[in-house]
Amino acid sequence: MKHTLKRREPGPGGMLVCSFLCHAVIFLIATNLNFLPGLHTDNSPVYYVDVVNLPVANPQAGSPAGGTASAPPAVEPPPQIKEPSQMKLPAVKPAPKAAGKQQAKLSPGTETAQEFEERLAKLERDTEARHQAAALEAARRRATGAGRGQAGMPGATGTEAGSDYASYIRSRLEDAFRQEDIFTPDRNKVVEVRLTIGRTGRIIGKRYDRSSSDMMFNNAVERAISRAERDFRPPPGGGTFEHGFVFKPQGVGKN
Amino acid sequence: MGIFATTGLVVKLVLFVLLYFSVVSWAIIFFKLLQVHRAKNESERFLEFFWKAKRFDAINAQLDRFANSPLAVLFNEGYGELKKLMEKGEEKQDPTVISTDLAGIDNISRALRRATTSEITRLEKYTTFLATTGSTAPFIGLFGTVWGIMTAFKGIGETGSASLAVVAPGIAEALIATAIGLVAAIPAVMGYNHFQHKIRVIVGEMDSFSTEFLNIVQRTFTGK
Repeated sequence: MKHTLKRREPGPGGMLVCSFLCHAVIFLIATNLNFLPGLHTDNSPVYYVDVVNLPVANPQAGSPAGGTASAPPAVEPPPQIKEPSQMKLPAVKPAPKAAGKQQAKLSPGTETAQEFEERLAKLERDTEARHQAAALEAARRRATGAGRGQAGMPGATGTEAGSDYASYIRSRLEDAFRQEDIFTPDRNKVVEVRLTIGRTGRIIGKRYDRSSSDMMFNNAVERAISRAERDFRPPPGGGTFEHGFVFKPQGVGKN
Repeated sequence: MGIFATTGLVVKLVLFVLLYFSVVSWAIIFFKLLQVHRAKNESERFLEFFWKAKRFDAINAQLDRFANSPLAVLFNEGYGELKKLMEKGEEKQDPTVISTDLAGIDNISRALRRATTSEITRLEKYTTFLATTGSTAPFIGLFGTVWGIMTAFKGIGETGSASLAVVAPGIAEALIATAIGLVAAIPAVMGYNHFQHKIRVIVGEMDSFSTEFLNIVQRTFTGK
């Protein structure tokens, strides 16, 4: 009689489960570590200098609540236009002696090409130096937080007196909404949402007044709201805030 | 999940097919790694035991220890055929001691060949799926990419905007299909080549063992 060998070999079914689990683990790791393209989201807050859409009570004063703002400068009356007959040609003044030499240099025919090049280079250097100084000054102001706490300034949180909190929220929503990869040929999709923001800056109520027929677009709006919520500051005055917002493929607007 | 959620239906289908290929391929790779590893190890142990043992019946009694070895299967088949020939012989002796002239060496050779073929089939089982995955997954991924780019360009044409911000997301979504196709195909091809090499080695060992077994039988039982 032939002996029958008893094999202790696991079937491929167990390995299938093992392989599936391995794939799931790798996918989760890749998702959490942002290995996959398109999954990386830049969560750093973007501060807009939206001087047009962030109205203040008195733009020239910066903030009425600040108390440190200087008094508004007196508005100068517009210059009166004279009649052509009243206009006079300015009297020709004699050139000062100091400028005499320069005048002589500038006179056509006497300035050589080399002098012209030098003068041009000097002008360019001066311009460059002015730009660098301006950039340095702006960077210093940003670093020291100058302007923070004033409505309409880059460091403002949107909660200062005079700030438009709805515009601030819209700005955050727009920022989050732009991170969504929305690709749709239909530009007429609209989602209207009414948000209620609690005193801690969290969304405590959300009502969809209108949804689009595209579930993917609706989901994109939902994700944008969730992402934007992380950056919300508490509403001014320590109360709740309620406002409607309109999401379209082109952007976010206030209702 | 964003990039998967925004892809079209066809690209999603392609991604699921590729995921299926990848999962099954890796399951086969794990299974074959274990199977080939056991076959190699137990064959080495069996050969060591075979050359140390003096009697076929003693080897036959210990065969279950080497159940995953193809050489043990060969021995089992050859020994079984030898016993059948013995039983049909005219001279009836103690079945535990085989020492008679046999004219049926060809029968044993055929039994060994059949066992070899059966073991090759067992070892090569499922490896064709690896070959199929290696050769077709990149093309399936490419199909998903082409379809995604077609859809993206169609959308661009309808919106009338060709800026990078509009074009890039569609292309990126489409290219993920090719990437996943390659992710599925590369391990499958590597696994297939690896197992083919290992199986060739085992087949060589089986051929050598068959020859040795026949030599021993011929020397012992026919005196040639």
